Formats: sequence, structure tokens, C-alpha cells
Amino acid sequence: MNYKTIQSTCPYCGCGCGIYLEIVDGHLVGTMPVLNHPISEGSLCIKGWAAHEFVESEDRLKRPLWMRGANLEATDWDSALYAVADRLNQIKLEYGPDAIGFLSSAKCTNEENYVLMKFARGVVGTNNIDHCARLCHAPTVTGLAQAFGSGAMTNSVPELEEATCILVTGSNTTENHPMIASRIIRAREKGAFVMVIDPRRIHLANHSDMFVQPRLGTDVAWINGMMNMIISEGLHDEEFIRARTENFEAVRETVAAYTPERVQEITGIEPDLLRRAARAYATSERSSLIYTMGITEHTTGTDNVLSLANLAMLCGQIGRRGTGINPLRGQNNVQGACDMGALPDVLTGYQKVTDPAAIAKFESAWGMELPTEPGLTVVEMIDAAMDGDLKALYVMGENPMLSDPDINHVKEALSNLELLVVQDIFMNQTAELAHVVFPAQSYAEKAGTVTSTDRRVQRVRKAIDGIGEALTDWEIVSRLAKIMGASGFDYETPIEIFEEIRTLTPSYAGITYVRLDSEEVQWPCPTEDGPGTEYMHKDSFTRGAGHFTAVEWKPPVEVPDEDYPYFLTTGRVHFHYHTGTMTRRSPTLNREMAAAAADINPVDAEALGIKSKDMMKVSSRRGEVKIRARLTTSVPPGTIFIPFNFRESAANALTISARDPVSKIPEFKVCAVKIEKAVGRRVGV
Amino acid sequence: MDEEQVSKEEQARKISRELIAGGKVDGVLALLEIRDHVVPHLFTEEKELEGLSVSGRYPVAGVAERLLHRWEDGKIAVLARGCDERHLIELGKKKSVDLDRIRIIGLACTIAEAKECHCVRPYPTEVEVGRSVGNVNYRDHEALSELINMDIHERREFWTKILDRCIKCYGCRNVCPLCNCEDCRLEETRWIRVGEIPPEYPSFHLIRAFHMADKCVGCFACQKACPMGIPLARLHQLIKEDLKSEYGFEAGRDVDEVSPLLVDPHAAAKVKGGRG
Repeated sequence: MNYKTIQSTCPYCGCGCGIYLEIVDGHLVGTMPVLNHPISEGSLCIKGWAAHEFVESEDRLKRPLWMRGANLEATDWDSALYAVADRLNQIKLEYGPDAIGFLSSAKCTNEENYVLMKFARGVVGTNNIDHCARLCHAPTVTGLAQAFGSGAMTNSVPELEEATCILVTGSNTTENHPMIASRIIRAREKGAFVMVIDPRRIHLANHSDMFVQPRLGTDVAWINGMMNMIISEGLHDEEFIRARTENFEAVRETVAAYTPERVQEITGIEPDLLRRAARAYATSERSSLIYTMGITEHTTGTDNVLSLANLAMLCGQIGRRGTGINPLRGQNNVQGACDMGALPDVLTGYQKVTDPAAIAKFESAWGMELPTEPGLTVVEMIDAAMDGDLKALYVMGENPMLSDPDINHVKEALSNLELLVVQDIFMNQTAELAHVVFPAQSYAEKAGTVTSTDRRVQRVRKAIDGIGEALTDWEIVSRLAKIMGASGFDYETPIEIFEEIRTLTPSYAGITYVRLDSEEVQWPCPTEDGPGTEYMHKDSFTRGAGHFTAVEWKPPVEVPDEDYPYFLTTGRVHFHYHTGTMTRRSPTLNREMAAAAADINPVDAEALGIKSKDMMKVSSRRGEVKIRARLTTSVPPGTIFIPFNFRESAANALTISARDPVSKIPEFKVCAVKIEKAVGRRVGV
Repeated sequence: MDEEQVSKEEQARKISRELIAGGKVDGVLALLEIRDHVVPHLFTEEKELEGLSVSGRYPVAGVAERLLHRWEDGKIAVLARGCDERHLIELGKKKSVDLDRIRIIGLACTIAEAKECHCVRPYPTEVEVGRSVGNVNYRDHEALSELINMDIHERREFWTKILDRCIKCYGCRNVCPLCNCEDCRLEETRWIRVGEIPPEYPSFHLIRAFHMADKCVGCFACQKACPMGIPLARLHQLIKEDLKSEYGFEAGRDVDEVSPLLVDPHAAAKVKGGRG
């Protein structure tokens, strides 16, 4: 009998729950929760319980593939790696290193992101590296960095239970961060006042003390409105503002114009309701803000984040236990991928590529010359491919053909490339267009670390051997680097990579694998004998003084008109994860939701003659999709919601690639569509 | 750790060591202590027994069932608390495990452990590790009477509100060794709409409660696994108590004791301890 369990970290969302994988004779047979885990405490959500299910799927990529004629055919590792090395060298020689781009992965470990980052910058010589954080929390990274000097969740997940007031906005927490929702529920049981401010009436609204429903894309207006009320009632924390912040006067002047009446006109929120929310937030002992994509995925994403930062500083609701600003990160390791410098403007730990001292440190450690101009972001790389400036794209564990906005445009751009390399565990829509596909190992086949939403660095452990000929992402990239003649990629284990990371990254310097065997450590953790950091900005902000930024409300780029009379907003569903490559191959999850449905208000449905489960044709200026209708009052009349998880009803065929000028995040949350009843029969359950 | 626990550990390790060394079993299924928590583990080598825990709690009967299914000739020992033994007996009734292939090492719970689980029988039939605390009743009187004293409207509101928290993780089902039907009714679209949270009230939770009515042994694992703090054990406890007071039936007591739900209800009161 051979039965064992291996502790790991859930591969889905950023909560970072502890799981045990059950292994019988070398195969995964189950998942169990880790009791006493600081985040999940012996519970899991449906995805966590099913975390083993997709790993040994028949569909796993087992051999390298390359394009022969019009088809992808199996080949051996050496042939595929040498072919990619040759093409990368040629393209670099002919067009320069910036004709090559890299998409790193928030699903891969810290070590793997670091190795790809080192390869892109050191071996190829470009800063064109980015990943899907661009599509979720880029405004958090830029906005909170501008306000506080650090763009991460300020508190810890367990601490949320100590908050006395929680304002949740733009986060469907029970569906997308279930184990954090559990803390909100518990905080409320202990007496916390919970407010949900969201254009959709989400599940958590049923378990809140107050639900406020602003119009889509009006966040800056209601936040400025709240600040206007707080200041006029004298509820702001003058002592905190004086001692810890700068530039408050600019904000005071700007918000003065956001009178309750004007705010109501823009947002639709009753002044009395907003006043109650403002008072509760400002006067509670420990208020915490929680937000996700509803705040960030706008052309005003950075403005929205800055506004929340203003609100927290105005009330002194930051820098103490249980109070702060908590952007919940989406992917299991999106925090880590950012920390590892898989971003076009920073090296590990947010050390800027434009900082000569940082560049000098990395150049001397790596023995390589490094580029110092910030590179292209995700959406800019796609545009550059379209324009012919980007010739090669190397994609590690991402699926831009479903996750990026305006995918018809993405497809055209990717087809334009001279070289598209995809490294993944499954064939996906992006890999279908690739010239070479490398089979990678999943989280259950490899060791490493991930950093979950509250800056918590945790171990991922090898539970089973690699499927087929699949290799870990760090091995693939290291082999490629060595073939291209680079030194510094002779890693034998992820520990060696992590040791290199921590010597170059002050916030990770005190974290070691040995420590991670007995604890999860939250960065910043500069010394091995010091503890990590539960909550940030205690006595001063990372940048010194907290910086207020005056922000004016701007409407979304595309709003309904005569031709496209409805708002479309997009997001995720509880039972699937992102582009569905893992969850749709998981029987438990697929059974819950095998196909997409669009949420439409019964009032709109009736006007359009649409009944429950009817097929609808939804079109925007960029594309159209067919999708089943689900009648629900969770969306207000005039707005429909489509999840982006499903390739056959891809929400991102409709979305607009207009982006935030600062963080470059696309406006996934708002565009205009028209809805028609699709011809044909109703679809059964 | 206090003296009692240390001596329990020694007892459990000694028995396990003998069983493994003597080749009487393929392994000892028990909890392995890792840092501050435990996980089910099949101990097959004597040297591993250092990590065997007698203080952690997590249901292991489901693992035993899976192992014995997989290895048709296998024989294992299970370090079992009262609730673990009752789980195994119920699985035996379902013919889902062959009890002849299981050597139970009975582990008695401490008073503190029994209190924490609101246990009414914190010991197995035969105690080999620790000392039975005897006949106790740590039933959660306060919570249960609060519920019973509500009128029907209050009670409906209580459950409607608290069950609305459910995020359909199925943790209550997954953690329970006895809630293991091949075709789970909770997954049947005839009864429960799929793809939505919360699942519709009250069918999801009542179907589960009724299915567990004559099986639940009161281990509390479902409630502990619930991320949303739903007091599931209260639901199960009250049904269990009715079955006991009306029919004298108690799940997990005896492999030959037939559930009153499986026989003529009028005759059920008489079937206690015998075959119906």
C-alpha cells in the first residue's frame, strides 16, 4: 500500500489556502484542507476541494510540439528548444532585442517567474516582460505605490476579522475569494459593520449591513462624495493627515465640488445612504477597505485606487491592525509574479529598471548587461505585434486569446508574429496559434514558492512525477538559456533559485526554504531572524509621507447609445477560474457550470422578449457572442454581466481595449453592447 | 503536552509498532502531526511512528474505505476515536468497508476534546489508548434549546438567513466519511439548480440532513469544515435525538443495528439491536 499526503498551496485564487494532496500509488486521488492553516483553517471552497482533478487529465500536453506545415506535430525536447533558440537569436540579430516580448505567469512559482525575468532581461536583453497582473491589479501597483510607496494588500487575511467596519467595493468576495469572505462574515458576527458598494447586487450584499448600488464606472464620484461629507462633518483625522501625509489641500479643494446632489446625479446614490456609509467608515475604530477588479479594470483604474487611498488617509484608517486597504489579488501567485519583476519597469521587489544602482546590482550579480528603458505592457505588446514591431512572443502559462480585451484583435496580432512560443500544461486558444509549444508541469508536479494576496510566501510541493515529458517552467527556460550560451542558469533545484532571489530582493531577504517549512512568511521580511510583516505602513508609509492625489471623475470611454444601448460588465464566476483551462477539465466544477450564462435583469429580458435560458446574441463594436440568458435582479436594468471564463461565449470578444493611461489596464468592466434574441431553439439545462 | 497525552502517545505507538513489526497489518491509519496540525497518514514503517498524533482530530474512516477498496487483500489498523469507530461501523453496514480487514485501535477522547465536539460518546467500544471518560453528555444544550424554543417563523428565518451564506463548497459532504453515495443527490439538477450560490433554500441542506439522518454519528467534522460558519451540527443533532427517542436508534453503535428508516415505521421501535 502506498498512500501519502503532500502539503501544498491551492493553485486557484490568491487567498492562498492550505491543501493536502492525497496520493495513491503515484496518482492524485483527493484534496483535503490543511487544519490550522492561517488562511483557510481547515476549510476550502469548491475549487480547492477539486484542486487535484485537472492534474492528470487526458488532455495534458505530454510532448513538445512544433509547427510543421499547418499543423502542430510532436517532437523531442532538443529539436524544439534548439529551434526556438535559433529563431530568438535570429530575430534579436535582425530586429533587436525589443522585437521580442515575454508573458510571464501568475500561475507559476516565484522561482519560475524570476528565471523567465532573468532570461528576458539578461539573455534576450529586453524589458518587454509582463503578465496578467496588467489585466487585474496594475492600477493597484501604480496607484498604491504613488500613495504609499507599496502596491500590496496592507493587512493580513486573518486580521480582517478584527476590523470593526469593512467596506467591500468591486469585489464579489464570496464567489472569487471565498476564504476571505469567510473572514468578513466572521467579523460581522463579532459586530463589524459591513458595507457592500457594487453595481451588482452580489451574494455578500445579503450578509452586509448596507448595500449601495452605484452606476457602472462612477467610483471616483462616490468616493469623492464620501470625502466631501466626511470633511464637511469634521469626521476626518486631522492629526493623521498632519503627521503622516502630504498634499491634502489639493484633495480638499477637489472634493468640495462633489456635493451630495452632484454625486447623486453621477452615481445614482441617495445622499442619505452615502452619508451613512461615510460616517460608518470614518468613525469606526478599525475600518478596512476591500476591493478587486471592480475598482481596477477601468480606464480610470489608477484614479479609482488613488481615491480609495485618499479616503483611507483622510480617516486615518490605515497602518494599524485590522485597518487598511486590501486589494485582493486574483491568481494564486500574481502577487509573487509582480514581486519577481515580471513587469516591464521593475526588477524583483519593485526595484526600478531606471534606477542605476538597482541595474548595477543585478548586472554584477548576473554578469550580464541589462536594458534600462521600461518595456512594453501586455496590451502594448499585442498592439506592437499588430503593427509589426514585435516579432516574437514567448508565453509562459498565459492565455491572452481569452483573457485579453478585444480578442479578435489579439488573434490578428498573434498571427502576425514570426515566432510564437507557448509553454503550458494544456493546449489552449493561444497555443493553437503557436509555432512551438512546450509541455509544462503543473503545481502538483513541482516544488517552489508562491506569494498569496496578503504577501504571504508559501511552499508548493511536488506530489507526483511530471506528466509525460513535461518539465517545470524553470527547467524549460533554463535549458533554453543554456542553449543560447548564457551562464547563470545551472540551477538544480528551486532552492538555488530562491537563494538568488533573496540576495537580490531586500523584502524577501529574510525568507528561506527552511523557514517556509515551519511557517508562512509575509514580506517585507528583511532579516532571517526577524518576523515578516502582518500589516504595513505602521509608523510611516513605505515612501515616507502618504501622498494625497486630487482626482476628478471621468466617465467610461464607451457608454450606451442608440446603437449599443446596454452596459456590458464582465467578471468571473465561483465555479470556474479565469480562462477555464483547469476548471473546465475538473469534473466537479464542470458539472456545476458547463456553459456560460449572461446575467440580465428581468425587466430588460421582457422588453427584448427573452426568457430564461434563451440564447441571446450580444454584440459590441468589436465582436459578437451567443450566450444563454440567466434572468436575475443582481444586475440592474440596462446592464448585463458576462463571465470571461468560457471560450465559446468569450466576453472578451466584446470588451474594449481602451486603457488606463497610467497603468495600461483595459476597461474590462464597462462597454456598450446591443442584445438580440438569437434565432433557434431554447437550450436545455 | 500533559502527562496523559504523552502516555497516550506511547501506548498508541507501542501498539502500532507491534502491529507493523508483526506483519499483522499493511499499515496503521492514524493522524500524522505536522507543525501545529494533523493529516491522515498510513504508517507503514516503525520509524515513522514518531509523528503519530493522539491529540489531533480529523475523520479517517473515509480514507480507510478508499484504501481497502484499492487493495483488495489489504488489512489495516485504524487508530480510532469513538466517532471514527462509529463511522467505520456505519460503512460496514453499507458493506462499503469490510470490518474484518480493519483492526481498530480504540482511542479515548479527553474531557476537553469531548467538550469541544459536544460529544455524547467520546470513546470507542474498546479503549486501548487513554482512559474512557465514561458516560458524559456534552451536547450543546444552550444552542439546541435556543433553536427549539424558537417558533416556526423564527426558526425559518434563522435557517434561511444562515444557510444563505452557503457557497456550495461541498466541504460538509467531502469531509464526512458517511456522506459518500456514488450518485450524490446534491449534484442532481432535478433537486438542486447548478452553478449558483447560495444553493436554493432549503433543498440543498435539507436533502443532506435527511440523507444523514440515520447515519450521522455526531463527529462535528462538517461544521468545522464549513467556511461560512453554518452550524450544521445543530441540524444533525436534533434529528439524531429524535431517532433515538422515538426508535431507540443510534448510528454507528452496532453493525447489526438496522436503521428505523429502512423498516416498517410501526415495527421500527422493536428492531433495536436486531435485524428487521
